Amino acid sequence: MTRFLATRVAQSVIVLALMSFAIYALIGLMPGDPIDLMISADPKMTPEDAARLRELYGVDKPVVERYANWLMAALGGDLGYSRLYAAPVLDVLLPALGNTLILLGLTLVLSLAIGLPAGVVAALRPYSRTDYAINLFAFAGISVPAFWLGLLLIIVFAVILGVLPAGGTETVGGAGFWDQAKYLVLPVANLTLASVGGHTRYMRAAMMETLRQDYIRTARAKGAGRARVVLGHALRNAMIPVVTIIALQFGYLFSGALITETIFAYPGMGKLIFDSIMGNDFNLALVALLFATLVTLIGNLLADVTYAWLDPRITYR
Amino acid sequence: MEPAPESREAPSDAILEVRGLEVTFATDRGAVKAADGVSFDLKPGLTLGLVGESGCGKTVTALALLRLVPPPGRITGGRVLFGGDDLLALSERAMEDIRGKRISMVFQEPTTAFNPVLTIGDQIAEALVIHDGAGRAEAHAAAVGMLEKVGIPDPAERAGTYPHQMSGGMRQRAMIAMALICRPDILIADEPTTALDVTIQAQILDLMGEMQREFGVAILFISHDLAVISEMADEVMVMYAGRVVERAPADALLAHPLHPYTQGLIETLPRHGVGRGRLPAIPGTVPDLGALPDGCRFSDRCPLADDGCRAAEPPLTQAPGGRWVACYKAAP
Amino acid sequence: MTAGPAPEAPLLEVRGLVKHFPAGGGGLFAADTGTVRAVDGVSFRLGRGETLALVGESGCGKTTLARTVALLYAPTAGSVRFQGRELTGLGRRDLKPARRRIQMIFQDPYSSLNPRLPVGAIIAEPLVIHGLGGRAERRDRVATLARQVGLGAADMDRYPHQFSGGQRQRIAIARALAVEPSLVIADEPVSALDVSIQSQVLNLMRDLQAAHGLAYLFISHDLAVVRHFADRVAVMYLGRIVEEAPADALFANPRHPYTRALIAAQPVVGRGKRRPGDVLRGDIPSPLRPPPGCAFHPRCPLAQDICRQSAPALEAAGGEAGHRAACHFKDEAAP
Repeated sequence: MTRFLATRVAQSVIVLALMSFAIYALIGLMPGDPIDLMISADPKMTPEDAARLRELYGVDKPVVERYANWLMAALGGDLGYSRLYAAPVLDVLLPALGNTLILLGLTLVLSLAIGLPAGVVAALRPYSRTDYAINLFAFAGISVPAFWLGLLLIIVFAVILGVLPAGGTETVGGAGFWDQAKYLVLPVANLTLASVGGHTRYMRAAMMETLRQDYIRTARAKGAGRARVVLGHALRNAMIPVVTIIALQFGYLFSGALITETIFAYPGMGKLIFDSIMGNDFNLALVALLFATLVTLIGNLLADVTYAWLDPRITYR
Repeated sequence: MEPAPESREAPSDAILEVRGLEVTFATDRGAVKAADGVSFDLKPGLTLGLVGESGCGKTVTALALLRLVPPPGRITGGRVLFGGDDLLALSERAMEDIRGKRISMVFQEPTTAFNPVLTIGDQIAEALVIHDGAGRAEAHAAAVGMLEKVGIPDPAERAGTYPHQMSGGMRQRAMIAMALICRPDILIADEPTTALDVTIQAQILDLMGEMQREFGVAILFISHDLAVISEMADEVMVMYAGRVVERAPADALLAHPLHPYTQGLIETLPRHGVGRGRLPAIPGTVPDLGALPDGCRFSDRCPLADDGCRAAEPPLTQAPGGRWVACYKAAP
Repeated sequence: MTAGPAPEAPLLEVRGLVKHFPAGGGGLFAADTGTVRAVDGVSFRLGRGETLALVGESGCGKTTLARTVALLYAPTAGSVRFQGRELTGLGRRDLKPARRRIQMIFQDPYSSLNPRLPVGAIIAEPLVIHGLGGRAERRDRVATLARQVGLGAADMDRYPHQFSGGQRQRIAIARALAVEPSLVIADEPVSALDVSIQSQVLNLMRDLQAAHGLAYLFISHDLAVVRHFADRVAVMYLGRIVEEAPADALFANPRHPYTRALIAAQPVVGRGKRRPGDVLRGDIPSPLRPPPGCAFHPRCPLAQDICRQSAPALEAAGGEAGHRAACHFKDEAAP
């Protein structure tokens, strides 16, 4: 297991390195550079000024050379300076990452707490009225676009009813934990509604498949009652594929947060990435995207560990 | 449904009496009867061999005794008399008390019949926990003892391993241990050695005989392999397309089969002394339950069939020597 | 038909054939965990029109041997001569003529036929692959083959799932025969079939052998079937042939203790109820770590020190021509 973890961490580092170059090159390919933005902001700037600035910022060098320079600096702990926020990249990034992790963590817990039991209940009585009802909600959640749902939530709860804030993270002047919690309700609800349907469907499918297995029949032949069959025999087996899907979805959830965060003006990673790309903030976009990659990789690693814990047949050498 | 002809037998020595058991499957083309009027008795310490080809209803009959027929199948008729109760009339809760405690089952595929994520020991001990309310340690100790009885070396260590860490033969031994841990009255074994190699099969067959002598359990032994049945059974029942076509003491049935299907099954077996020519064969294919011939189900493959056979289904009737056969043409 | 070799050469001669597989899943960071010695030095000959059965339990290497002879696997070492020509080391193009003359039938008639092709196209496929005949000729050939295996003309437009297991095996046989092979390798061809259907398929295979002069390499775990069907039998254990003999001699006078155990373990109709007897103890060892010396020694009732130290060679035994056994005690009386 230790050896497996070491290998996987090494693999993750390689993936991260490859991704950093790919992202660097992609951003480099985008039309326009920061100097163009400066020119448009300051019409009095001469072409000579622009060329000087390009040389100063190193924008005129080939992409591989620029990447190598960036990498050396990054490995030395210098991730660069955000032009847009006029602050070191990490100072901008870490609070945003914290906000997003809170949003995603709450969403994941809530979505699993609702989706998994709902999936199990549906699988126990397939094609029953309960099953159809659960499926209806699951498909509704999957089908409704997240941005539309977000706008709807704002209209109903913030505009018409006025019980919850429409966006942000806290009331100006700060009123503590409960105040911040109030700001989380709508974005978390939005993301949860968008992801719970998928979790329900995956759990239902996995549970139905598991309940068809021979060993379930063996358990029943031993005299095991329904609860023992489902909780003692089926659940752990059914969770094995579900865990994989949840982990793979982590990256998806991360990108889903982009829309939600934009709608609710929630200062997280999604909004940060969006703003930095639109604003040609090279350094910030690059590091933010790399952090997004890192979070996804960690999610997959956690899935592998959970996997081994659930299924004794898997031995990591 | 035909009247239960077995009423003339002394009822006292049977531990389980099955009468007119009927299992129906809903299919796209309507309902088909996978078991149709199946009747038999199980006696303590004796083995009834149930033989037949795919789709003859032997597995469904076994599952019906425990009321474990998978949907879309349903038990639609008959009685299963056990300890003064009709099992088919019990509540599901009461049936759970029978399963694994009084009647238990050994399945064909030891690879898939164990839960892959639980240890062998826990799975064997589970029946004791369910039925006798045994504590963890007590049940575990009993499981280790049972593993030793079925001939698994290092039982204490083996109890802590997972099914995939055992060989097929060891898993089948463990399955027998699991089935016998509550000392049931009846053991149903559905093709218990079909997935095993022949030298391992011999070990398992010996073990089952040994366990029967030790625990006095009545065994319903199901197999497609007439040779295995002939080595294990005291009495043999042959099924074809959902019906019992012949039932008799094993030696009599194998030496002098009465039903043309049983005769065919025995003759088609490649055997010593037959020589290397062509084998006798039963023409045609195993019938589709949704498209059975009129009258006797075997009539379209039977060398003796005439219009009478195609007009009405022959009932299972008594023949001399404690035998039963469902054929108008059965040689007396 | 291609020109035959000198008449005394056997159709197939396999010498010192070895097929090893790397164990474990492989992968970038996976450690090398050893070698599965699936076939570990096997030699035999097969004449024209002859049936040689390979019997043994799981892990004995009979299927790997069959597939290596069928050129589906490249051998690790050893020689396969077919119709007098060495096949190992040949490239794809050079192998093609031999591939046509060696055909295979598999155990599972459910997965060995492409479910999306009509039966006529399945049977015609080898003809297409080997570029034999025009469209009309192929159609005629398929019709003839169908008739030979007992299928109707109307069946050619139907799909495999519309047939029973026995009929599917007939389709597989017709496909194998399409390109006029001289050797058919049949891997457990009747194991998945119902008893009443098994004899039909065996009879068909026998009729076709007589009609086309086919040689069969017949892989089976069922001694009763083998005894009935084969001219000669080779018993395999952990990648090696431990005994080989004409079928009658093997069953009448088995010289290897494993052969004796196999025969004794085989249930027989009419022997009466089973009495606990001399049953072979223990499990089949893993081909990943075969025991040293004679691979059978941990389960052998006759094992002595010499068996643990040196592997016996396959040598003449039992007195009859062509009877060979690999046992240090092959000439002693059976216990």
